[in-house]
Amino acid sequence: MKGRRSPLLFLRDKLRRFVLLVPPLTFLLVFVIGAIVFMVLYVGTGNVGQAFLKLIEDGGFQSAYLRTLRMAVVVAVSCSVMAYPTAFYALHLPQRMRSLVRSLIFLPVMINPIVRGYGWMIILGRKGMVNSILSGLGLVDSPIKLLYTELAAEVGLIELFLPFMFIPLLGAMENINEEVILAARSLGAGTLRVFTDIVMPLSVKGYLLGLVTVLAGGFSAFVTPSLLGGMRNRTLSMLIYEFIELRLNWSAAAAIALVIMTTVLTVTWLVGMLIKRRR
Amino acid sequence: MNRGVLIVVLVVILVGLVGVYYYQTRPRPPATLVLSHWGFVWDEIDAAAIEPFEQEHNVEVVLVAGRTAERLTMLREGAEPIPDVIFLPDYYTYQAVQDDLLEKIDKSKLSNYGKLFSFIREQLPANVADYGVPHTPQDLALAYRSDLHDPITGWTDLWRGDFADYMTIPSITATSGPMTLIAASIAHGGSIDDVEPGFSALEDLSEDILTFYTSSAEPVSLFEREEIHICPVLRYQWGTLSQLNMSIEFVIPEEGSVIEFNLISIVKGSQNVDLAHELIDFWISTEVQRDLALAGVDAPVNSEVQLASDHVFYVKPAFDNAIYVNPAILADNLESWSDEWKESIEG
Repeated sequence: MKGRRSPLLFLRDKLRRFVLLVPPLTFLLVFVIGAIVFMVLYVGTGNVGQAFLKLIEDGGFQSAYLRTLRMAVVVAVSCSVMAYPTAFYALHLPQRMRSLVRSLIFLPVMINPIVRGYGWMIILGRKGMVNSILSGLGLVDSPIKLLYTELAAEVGLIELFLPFMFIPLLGAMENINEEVILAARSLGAGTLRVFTDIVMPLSVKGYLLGLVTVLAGGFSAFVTPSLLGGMRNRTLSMLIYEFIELRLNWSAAAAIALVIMTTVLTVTWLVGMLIKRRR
Repeated sequence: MNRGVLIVVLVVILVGLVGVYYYQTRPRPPATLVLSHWGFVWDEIDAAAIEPFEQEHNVEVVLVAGRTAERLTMLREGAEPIPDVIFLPDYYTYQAVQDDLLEKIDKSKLSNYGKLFSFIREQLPANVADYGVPHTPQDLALAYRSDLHDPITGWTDLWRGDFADYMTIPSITATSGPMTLIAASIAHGGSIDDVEPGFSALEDLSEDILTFYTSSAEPVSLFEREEIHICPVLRYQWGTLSQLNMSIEFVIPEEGSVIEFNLISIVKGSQNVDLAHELIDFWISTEVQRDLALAGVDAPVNSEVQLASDHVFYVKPAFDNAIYVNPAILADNLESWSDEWKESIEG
């Protein structure tokens, strides 16, 4: 006969488990929540609302905000379009090949973003690979301007964030019960139907994770847009740098950082809601 | 007195005296002087200035390295370690003076101050000169590919047409950005006080500018990749650009050299004010200024330093027709200039 656990033992077990949570909770409390509180204080102790209003009315901020949002969306959509079919393809590969593909796609993450940025500068430059091919094929008479454009920054960001979309997607797809796919196929569903009706809905959590990472990363990236987009294509992160380095205005810089955080959280929440409604 | 007790007392006295002797003659730990500096080319600075100073004054110099804005913010926030001496561009020195962060310099303690170029002593405004001593100038010149273009003489050559799409200019956020605006204004009939002609001229040029640079490394990379053929550069960038295997010539513009200075200041509340004065005096001495120039670190402010006329840090021609920008003008206008620049030129 099984004896009942005493409430004291139950409480002790609960406490033990809670102790395991203490280090990460403390870390998050101090370095995430604490940092946010400090940033709000940096914006202004008295007129936080007014400080934000002043920032939002600034023309430079408005154009940087719209550009950053546009770039983050373009990067997220491009990564989704590229990562979904690639992950679906990789799912059907033998285990060893799948691991190889996963490693190859993850490889760029191991390279420093500055090195990658300079690599793209060489590829997209006046005498770079793209212009050489275009002029070699006789498609252009003189080099076209690719570098220091919004497109160049987006290309660099897509390369940077594609693995962060691909890895969680593939992970989610691997968790789909293979028998469900086999059942669909035996009922006559083609590859496209299996992909749209089974794989996509069942991998949505992995997709959301990837989407949040790409949107957050794309919205707050600094090195790649600076190197490839240049100062003509200022993003919010570049604006933060400017406010700190040139204007010594930490208050405005903190306000922009909070705007970035709020936007990313809002967009992520909206996307999550949309996907949940469609399911 | 008992003989035994006497011996014990004598031994105790002897041991005490030996102890006092060793205490007095022990090797003393050196004093510490904390220096706030960018930290670039520190090995060369260490060899030319820091080590000799440490040996001469039995002091240990500790470096707090960082970018200008970062170090000024640390000073404002009272972040440890609080430096004794800080190196800043004059515009930031002015900001630090406004925030009451710097100690007044006692120039009677600086035996080498009189050796500074007279232009510097005359031009530096009192509210800056009282709190900082210039240790290097930064004049803005033009670097261009002499093998691909006809010779240039001044700022107006940027608008010549053959440099279209092959030029970069500093962003307004770079130290040399406002200097470029002033230079463009003077070249087009304006002045330091009236920069509208500069804005208008640069707006016309905007489409021909490949990109706007923010760090000194960018022009080097852009020249190397043959993306640009011309670029306004500060004096300290000359050395690196000269090392490229390209025909790059530097031209001191005929309209004049827009110039600013980097200064050494003593931080308010420093416990080593005398030692800090000695370091400043040492830094602007003829020997140290010469060694720093020959090591490729900084151009000299000391008029007694003799350099070959083809040396990158031979600054006399720039001083002969220099246009110094009072940091107060920058502080008053930088925000509005920055907004207008972004709207009309970089936008």
